[in-house]
Amino acid sequence: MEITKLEKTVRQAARDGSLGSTLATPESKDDAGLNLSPEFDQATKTLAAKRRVRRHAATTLLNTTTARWA
Amino acid sequence: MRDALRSEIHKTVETYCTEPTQRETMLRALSRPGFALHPEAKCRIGLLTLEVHRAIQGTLGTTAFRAAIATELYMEAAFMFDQVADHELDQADGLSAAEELALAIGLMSCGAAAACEAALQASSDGRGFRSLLQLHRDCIASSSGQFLDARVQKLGLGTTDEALRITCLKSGSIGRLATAFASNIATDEPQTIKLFEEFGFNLFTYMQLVDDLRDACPENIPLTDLGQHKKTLPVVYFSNFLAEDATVTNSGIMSPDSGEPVSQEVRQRFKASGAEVFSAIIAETFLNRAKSNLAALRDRAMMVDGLEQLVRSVEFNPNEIIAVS
Repeated sequence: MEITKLEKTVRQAARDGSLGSTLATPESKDDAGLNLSPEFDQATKTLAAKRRVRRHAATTLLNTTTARWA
Repeated sequence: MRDALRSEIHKTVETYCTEPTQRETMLRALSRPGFALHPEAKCRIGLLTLEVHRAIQGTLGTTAFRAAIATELYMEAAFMFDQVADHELDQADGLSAAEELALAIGLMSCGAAAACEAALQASSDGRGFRSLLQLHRDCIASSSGQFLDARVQKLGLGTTDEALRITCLKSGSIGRLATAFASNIATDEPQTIKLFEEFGFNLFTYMQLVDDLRDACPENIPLTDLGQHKKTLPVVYFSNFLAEDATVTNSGIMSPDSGEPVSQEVRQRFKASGAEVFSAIIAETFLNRAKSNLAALRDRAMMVDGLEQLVRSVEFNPNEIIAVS
């Protein structure tokens, strides 16, 4: 997955006004929390969905892209 | 420990910079806010270097300190260059851009001298030369990031891929510079070195992405990355978002001149665009990778308690000074 795909997903969600529901998933072990730091909280305080963004989706996101740059 | 490091940095500049005017100006510059000799300086890259060395060898000696001085001075030189590039010269000193750049070169050279000392002390079985070679490879990678960063500022819209690549090159390479140098000095084990290199790269990329997220469009601060049209990840995302929005004509929703304060309308559009969510996900990915690197290093019997404390301080207490005991 390249970050352009994530970019399109987030962009579309922002346009639809569904940023939270699109990125959030039902509570599960995988979604135990992104545990964003206070600095993140400050920077992203307007975004209620931030703690429910799927950790594993974020972690696998850059596997191909950064490998390409290595 | 931080005070000891700062004291050694001071001595190194005094030792190697023999021209009095340059030496005194350099020491004053290093005492500015954000620089290593300022009372509130975090000296994170130097402390990171020390912690990597201690994670491998269990102790800190002269070699570790010389390596930490080297990486910290390289960082200071890059920071000074950035201030010139961003037209953020310190008015109090009244130095010209040419003087600042000359100081940056001087700082980097002092760092190189300290690196040579560290390498000389670790020179058995060629470890010293190998570490120096890697250090300069990482310096070149980081300078590539600075060059590309400067180049894209004058070009049109970039992609988020490009913005992230430049962030990785510019900042990730600085982190790797520290952890690679420290680990190459302290051990010959290739997999351990590789994991430490990745850890430094991931941690500093994360820190830069958080900085870019914070500086993109903060409230009550007129000089924003958005207003300066910087090509950071969140700004590039937002620019592309606007460019694809059919409701936005080319009527200057972004402030037309770099350096102009952004309007409240633009701030609101930025918040609603998802730029912060997008950037936060990417940043978090790098943090997770850094933590994964540390877990793998612990599995290899590395003593990473200090590094885990460092990561926690960066993650949860970004304004706290890390105490290396």
